[in-house]
Amino acid sequence: MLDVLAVALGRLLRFLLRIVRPGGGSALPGVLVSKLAPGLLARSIGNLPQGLVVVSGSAGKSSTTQALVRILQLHGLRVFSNPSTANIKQGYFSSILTQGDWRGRLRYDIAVLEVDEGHGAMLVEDLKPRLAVLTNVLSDQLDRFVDPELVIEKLAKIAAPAGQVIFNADDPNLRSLGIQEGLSASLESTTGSEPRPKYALRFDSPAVEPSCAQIVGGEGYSVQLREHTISSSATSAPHAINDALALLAADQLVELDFKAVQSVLQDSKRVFARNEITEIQNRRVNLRLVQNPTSFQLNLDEISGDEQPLMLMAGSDIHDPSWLWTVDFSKLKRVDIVGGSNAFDLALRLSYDGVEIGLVEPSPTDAADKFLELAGDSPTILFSADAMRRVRRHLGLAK
Amino acid sequence: MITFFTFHPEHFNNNGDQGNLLVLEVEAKAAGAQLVPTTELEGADFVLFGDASRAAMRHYGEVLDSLAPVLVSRYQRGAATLVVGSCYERFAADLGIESQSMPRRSEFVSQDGFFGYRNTELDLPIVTRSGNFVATSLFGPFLAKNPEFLVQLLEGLGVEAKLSPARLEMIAEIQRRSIGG
Repeated sequence: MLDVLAVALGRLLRFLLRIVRPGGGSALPGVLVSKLAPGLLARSIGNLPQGLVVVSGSAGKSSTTQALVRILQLHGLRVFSNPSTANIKQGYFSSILTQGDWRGRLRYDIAVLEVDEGHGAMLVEDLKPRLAVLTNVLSDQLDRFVDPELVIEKLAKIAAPAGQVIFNADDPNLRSLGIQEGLSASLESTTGSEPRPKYALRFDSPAVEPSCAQIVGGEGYSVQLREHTISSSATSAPHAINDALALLAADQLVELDFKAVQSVLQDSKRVFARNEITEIQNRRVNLRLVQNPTSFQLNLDEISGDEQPLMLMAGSDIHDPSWLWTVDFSKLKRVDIVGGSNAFDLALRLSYDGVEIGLVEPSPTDAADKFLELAGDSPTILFSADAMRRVRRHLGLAK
Repeated sequence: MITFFTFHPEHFNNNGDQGNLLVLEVEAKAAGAQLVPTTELEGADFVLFGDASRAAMRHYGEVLDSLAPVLVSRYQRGAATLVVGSCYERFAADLGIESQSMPRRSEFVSQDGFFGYRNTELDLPIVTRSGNFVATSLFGPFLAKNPEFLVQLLEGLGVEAKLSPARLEMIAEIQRRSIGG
């Protein structure tokens, strides 16, 4: 009865918020339901016949989750999942509001949830996943996590209650967990001159059992699983590793149809807002989400630097913007607009890399409007998650 | 020519602390001076010890301990030095600074004319200064965000700095938005 009431009130709040902020999303309905019916999530997930898979780690959670979801769907499973930017508790409750029935029950076969590494341990205590997939440990969000060693501890807690663990054996930090009877993917080689991925620093190299899947670089990337070789559209080793982890996880859940798997891993447009071309006011705008030094650098490496107009945004999700000083912006000649609540921090950083700045506009919505007024045939925005949400909501692009 | 020594910049750059060298280099260059690396800790014009992970602090622990006397000497002379975060915590006792554990503080702070972000469980003074020697719990671009000290530091290195008004405006905005200053 409480579940019914909580779902009804949560949906009403969601409806009202959509009237007040058309096209916008909000965490409030999820927060409300989690307060009114805290056991709803465990009950809804617990009723799924094939249980729960959680995906966690510093980076690559969304890519891995989405690849796994697609593979499972192509094998006929109905998969409950969460949007990539809703990977903490209230986000799951919000997903139940949008994907569950009037009692919050889920008409799905299995749940695959992207789990924030900071919140995951608390979550899995109740949910008891059958499978945990761990992507990597980076030196990331130090204002929040303090030190990578504390992230390793959190991932160990996420892995502990899982029936089985699948992990990236290329990362010595995950090898250090000493996971017994886990399944791992290893990076055998990268393509061309691409350097090997950089993980959180450690000075030892823990050994693990031989990996079940191997990632091989050459002309492009491919994943080898038993006698099968599946080529991937991944353009970097970290993305290819994510593919291999998704493949390994799917292999534990369904009898794989490798043609279906191939179609997923070769799809080049797989992750929302990581590198997306969206039509806005009759212009094709390139949207790129940058969440940490690694993803900011990867995105900068991928663009030419001559895009016009170009906007960089650092929103309020960046609590301590100091890490912007670990990113190399020197390839940029000019940034037309620097936006977001940390715009001045970003602008200061850019100025010391010799980048010309057109305008600094802390308001994300004003920055977006001014950006769309600028001429240029390759409009491109790099934004942090908070700035992305605000801009998408303002432009009616919220999903 | 200004010589600088930086301790393992590949690992002691947790929060962009090595960006302080970029700031120094850009401002020195604008004033006609050049920054040149040296392996001489004692004789370097400027020295930087950035913040590092627990793994790095363990790995380099003995080396850091062996460098403490030189750092103390620089402290006593007020020689241009910046010691940040975990290195500040490690060298604090050598510098004669007492500290106690406290609940973790992750926040922007402004105190005694210095501004920045700290994330610590020790109640060390936010900045310990002797002349142009600064040990601080403020991470990242300390020099970029503390222009008054930057000018004094550059003057101490024989450079007459003229910071750009545009940057000074940005710094004022950053402070205003972070701590309402």
